[in-house]
Amino acid sequence: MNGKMKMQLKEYFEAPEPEKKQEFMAGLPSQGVSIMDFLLLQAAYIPKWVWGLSALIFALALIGAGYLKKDILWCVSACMPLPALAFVAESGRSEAWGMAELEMSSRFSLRSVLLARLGILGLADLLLFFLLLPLAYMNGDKPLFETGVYMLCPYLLTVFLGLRASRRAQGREAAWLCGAIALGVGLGYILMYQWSLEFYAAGNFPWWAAAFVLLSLGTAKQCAETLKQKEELVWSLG
Amino acid sequence: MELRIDRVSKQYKNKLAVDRVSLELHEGVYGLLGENGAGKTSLIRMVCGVLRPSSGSISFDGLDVGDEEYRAVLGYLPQDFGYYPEFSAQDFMYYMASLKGLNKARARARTRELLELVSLSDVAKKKIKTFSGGMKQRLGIAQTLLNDPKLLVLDEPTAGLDPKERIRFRNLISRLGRDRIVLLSTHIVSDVEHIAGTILLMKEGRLLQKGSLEEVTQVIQGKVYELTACAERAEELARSYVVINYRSEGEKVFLRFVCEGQPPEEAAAAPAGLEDLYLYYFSEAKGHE
Repeated sequence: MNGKMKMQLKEYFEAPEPEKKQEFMAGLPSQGVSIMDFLLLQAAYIPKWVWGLSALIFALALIGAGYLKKDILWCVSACMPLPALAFVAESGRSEAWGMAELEMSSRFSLRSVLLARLGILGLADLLLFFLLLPLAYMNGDKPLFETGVYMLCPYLLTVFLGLRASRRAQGREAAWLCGAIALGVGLGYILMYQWSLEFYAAGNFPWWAAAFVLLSLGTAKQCAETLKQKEELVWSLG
Repeated sequence: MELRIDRVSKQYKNKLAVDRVSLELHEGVYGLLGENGAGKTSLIRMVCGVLRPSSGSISFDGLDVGDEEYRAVLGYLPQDFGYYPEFSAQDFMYYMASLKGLNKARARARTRELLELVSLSDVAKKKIKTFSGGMKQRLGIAQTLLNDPKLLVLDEPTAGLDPKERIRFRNLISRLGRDRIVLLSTHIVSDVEHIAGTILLMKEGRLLQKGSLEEVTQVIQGKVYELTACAERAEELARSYVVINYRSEGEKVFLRFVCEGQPPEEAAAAPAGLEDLYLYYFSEAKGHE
């Protein structure tokens, strides 16, 4: 039916008010959303600054690699707390903006929403890591595995401390606290590197590896505890 | 259709917020009435699966409160709710629709329909942060209906609404209560009086009364009196009885009060309403239970 005919029909024929519309709608088979649709929808609700931040870090690393040469490793490592901060911030965003209660009572509860978003962000951060790793490796003098460990430690430390802190503090206070942790880890990394020439010394690597293993385990535990906490509203009677 | 609340309690450290509440609710509007701290919000949060009961169970047509299927038939308006700062009314509705499992086409259709219903169509694309309290509340009400819930739970739904909006909302709730369970919590007595078919009265975590307006007010029928007296006499009576209304009328004072024993000679009996009952139960001076 062409547009003109539609217009004419509208003009000459007044449609009657629908009867039993609600009953009819209720009788239709419900078309739900698949897991993939749900994940894509949730990805769309991750704030744009999070993606922008990852892109910015990659762009800066790409530009800086040519100038910084060996120093690119500590530079990139010192930036890793930033995507970690975005990851932690996402875990407490619902509480910070007062959406937790609505999300908890929905069909896809807060726990599912968070699992989806943290999963997406975790994958995005992993992708960023695999993009930054060759840059740091090719411009540095460390083996690939060691380079990866040096880069991941500040990320894991920020996620570990941030998730722990955000479960204890509430709302926007938690967001500020996590920001301070990320800043502290990043700055600490820079200062440690500047003060100690032994920072990336080969003899110290076993300590780095041990820290990496412990932080990986600790971060996994913090993630699990954070998700568990989202099953019930944290409510203060005071 | 049945919501079954079976001996549900909620304990917070040293405070028992809800104490062994049992209820069976069917289609209709239920008004949960009680003062602040009576345990209404705790009970409502447990019904919505947001808080876990310390003991007891909650189910809807055999579905446990923890099941996804239970949440799929639930619509909930919390007492306080926020929104992500970048959201417009339409974004908020789409987001809630995604959490309720509606596909994009259905989300768009329901959003259009519901924003129209709560008179927010013309501001659908405006940021929520520019909305007044009443507009936010209407948006909150609209999101509860996205999934056409069989169980609708509203915590202080009329807070922030102006009198016209409140009346519109009451009518909407009455219509919705025809084919679903609507549980609304409030301390605005007139809202419950107008729309609730069944009144649930809570005090200190326990359910004091359950029944129709006539049934629950039966307790104080014949105990409500009115009189007009000089200010001195009115003050004297106000010290002795639970005063429901104290209104200056020129040099005289109109007094409405609850009296359990022999009333003053000049007082005339008046039919009791829900507000009278509320004050009878929740007056600080009295301890009726």
